[in-house]
Amino acid sequence: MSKYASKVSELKKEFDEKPSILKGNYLDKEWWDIPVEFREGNWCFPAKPEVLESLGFANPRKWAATDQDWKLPGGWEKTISEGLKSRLKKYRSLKLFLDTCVRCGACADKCHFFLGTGDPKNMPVVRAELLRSVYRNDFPLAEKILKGFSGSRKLTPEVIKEWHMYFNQCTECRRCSVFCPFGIDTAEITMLARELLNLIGVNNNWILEPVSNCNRTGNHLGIEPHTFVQNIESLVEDIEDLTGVTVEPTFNRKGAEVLFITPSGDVFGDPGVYTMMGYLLLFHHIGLDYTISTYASEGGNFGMFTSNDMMKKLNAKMYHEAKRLGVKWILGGECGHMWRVVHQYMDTMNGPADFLEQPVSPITGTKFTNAASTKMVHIAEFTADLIHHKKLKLDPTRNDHLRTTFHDSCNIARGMGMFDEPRYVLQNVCKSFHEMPENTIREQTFCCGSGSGLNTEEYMDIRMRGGLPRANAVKHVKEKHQVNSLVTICAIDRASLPTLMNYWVPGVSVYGLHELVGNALVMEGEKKRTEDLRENPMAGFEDREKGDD
Amino acid sequence: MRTAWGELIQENREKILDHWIEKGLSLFPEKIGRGTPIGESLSEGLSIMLDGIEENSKSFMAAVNQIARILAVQPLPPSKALSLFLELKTILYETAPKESKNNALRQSDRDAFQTRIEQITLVAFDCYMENREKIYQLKVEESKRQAFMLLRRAQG
Repeated sequence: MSKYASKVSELKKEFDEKPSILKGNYLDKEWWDIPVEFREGNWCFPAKPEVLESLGFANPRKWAATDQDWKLPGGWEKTISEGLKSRLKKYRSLKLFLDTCVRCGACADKCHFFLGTGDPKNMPVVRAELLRSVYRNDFPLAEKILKGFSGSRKLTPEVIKEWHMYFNQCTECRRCSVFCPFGIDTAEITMLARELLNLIGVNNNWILEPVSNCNRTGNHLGIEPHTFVQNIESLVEDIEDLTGVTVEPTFNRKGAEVLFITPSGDVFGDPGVYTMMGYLLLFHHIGLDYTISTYASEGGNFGMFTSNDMMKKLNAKMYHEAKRLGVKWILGGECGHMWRVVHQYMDTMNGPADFLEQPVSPITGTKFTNAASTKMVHIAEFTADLIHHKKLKLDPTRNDHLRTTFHDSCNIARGMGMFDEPRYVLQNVCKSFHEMPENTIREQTFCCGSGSGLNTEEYMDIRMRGGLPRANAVKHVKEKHQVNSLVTICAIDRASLPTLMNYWVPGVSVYGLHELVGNALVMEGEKKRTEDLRENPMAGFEDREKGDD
Repeated sequence: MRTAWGELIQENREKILDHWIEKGLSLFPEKIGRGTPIGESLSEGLSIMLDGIEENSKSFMAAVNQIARILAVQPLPPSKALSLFLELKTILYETAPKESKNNALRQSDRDAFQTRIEQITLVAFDCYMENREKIYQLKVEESKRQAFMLLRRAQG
């Protein structure tokens, strides 16, 4: 028997001690009758009233998930019920996903939240059932015939509490859907459930405040154009100090060939800013005719975690700006969900972007036919093409102080199927690279545990539990290959993985891919490099300098 | 092994470890399987602890910390989480005497074992607190990192 099989004594103890629908207070009740318990650390703070007001969203009020009364608006049951009906009509995918699941359970132990909490309602199949049980109740005839068999239930405030709990313990990473024989995309069920909850003001401030900021000023932190420019100019000065090279980004320049859009975390946050320095060095190195917009100053799209309309609006901003500036195409930075939105939704939401041209690399002449409709190219793909055509002068030994592994970001890996380009770039800019175990990378990658707007501090305990499978895989390569650097291509990863590593695998730092590109690029007219973009000494280079002296 | 209780543990190591892991997994409010990342990490930590149970060696301390780190982010009160370490006493007495040749620990051995278990629990308490404090420290660091450039500018 498997060493992992439960022992009889364990099962007995579990049965005796834990709440179950087979005994005690819940005997003869349904599985959903076991109530959810909100306590410190297991819920995200709700949106501030002023945030909702600025967006024109429903039910602005002060409340907390621990309150008995959530102050739901009058007629909320009708809002949810009609909201679900209209969406079932609008999105055939949703109807298919709700109807086709056979509860085979292949998804169950693929979810990092289920693995980290053991809570059955965190099995993707059951998470979807939370919505499906209400959906079933909406068919009076079926209800009459199948009552007791159909697994349907009435909509009550307890259902809303349960939805809020479990649809916010899903990072929309889609690992479950890889293993689903029907290809059910449970992330889309979570997206829809969150959209319904937003209709009655059940929400998360860490999602909606960035949405509101982005809606107003163009980026998540609400930074205004002049500050945005000053930040990048400050990075330009840092680059000059480190390399002796002056890079010259332009802002809102009409007629540039390429518009470059990246998550604002790359402009404001540590360690994102070092990735930004890498982009700036790269563009200077190849003489790219590009501009950065201070209005479309955010690649991230938290609308995806809010509602379809908000996702569409925030995505449209990038394309409006491309049109206004008259660029030929858009180059996108290292972001996660921006790419799922662009790759899977943009075309039918705001596309096709006919006013732009099919992207062609001005350096290599490569036509990016995969971006023929969205006109937006991923920077890892762009750089891989440059390296393939030997257009970059690289010294990978400049990253000898780093022993790397690569974390596939969920939305890049599963959302757009990009696995090899970032690895190709990474292996060309550093000499030490080791893969994590096979079932934790590429399309089977484990989420950072903080995606889809859950990267908030009050949620730290759950994030650490959800991120444990990823951390364990990093620990494995740290012990086996002395890996000290986790390289990734997503801004949420860059924000949340340092915390996860610090907790579970101290001694591993998190890097953006283009930060390592920036370290390795041999720039024309550069001064002798002794430090990387973080101003850490580069192994071997400090000695060389001493020797020269 | 230098102590009588230490020898007793080693003689019954597999059975004791098995019971200890079982106790550990039953602490969690939901069912956690042995093959999950938590289950494997906990099993590994407890196994290393048993191997060097008699003294605070480097690997022993790392194993205690590994377990405390898991427990510190669970929805468990510290009193319940740390009871895992005290459980070893019950497990040893329940498991060993019936099967071991050396089944009769003298009172002085029992006292020494009791003292050691208390020491281990206190060490685990230190680790647990260190990890809880780290969570709060990480929250602060994360906020600072998110506004890295703004703070840098503000500081001139």
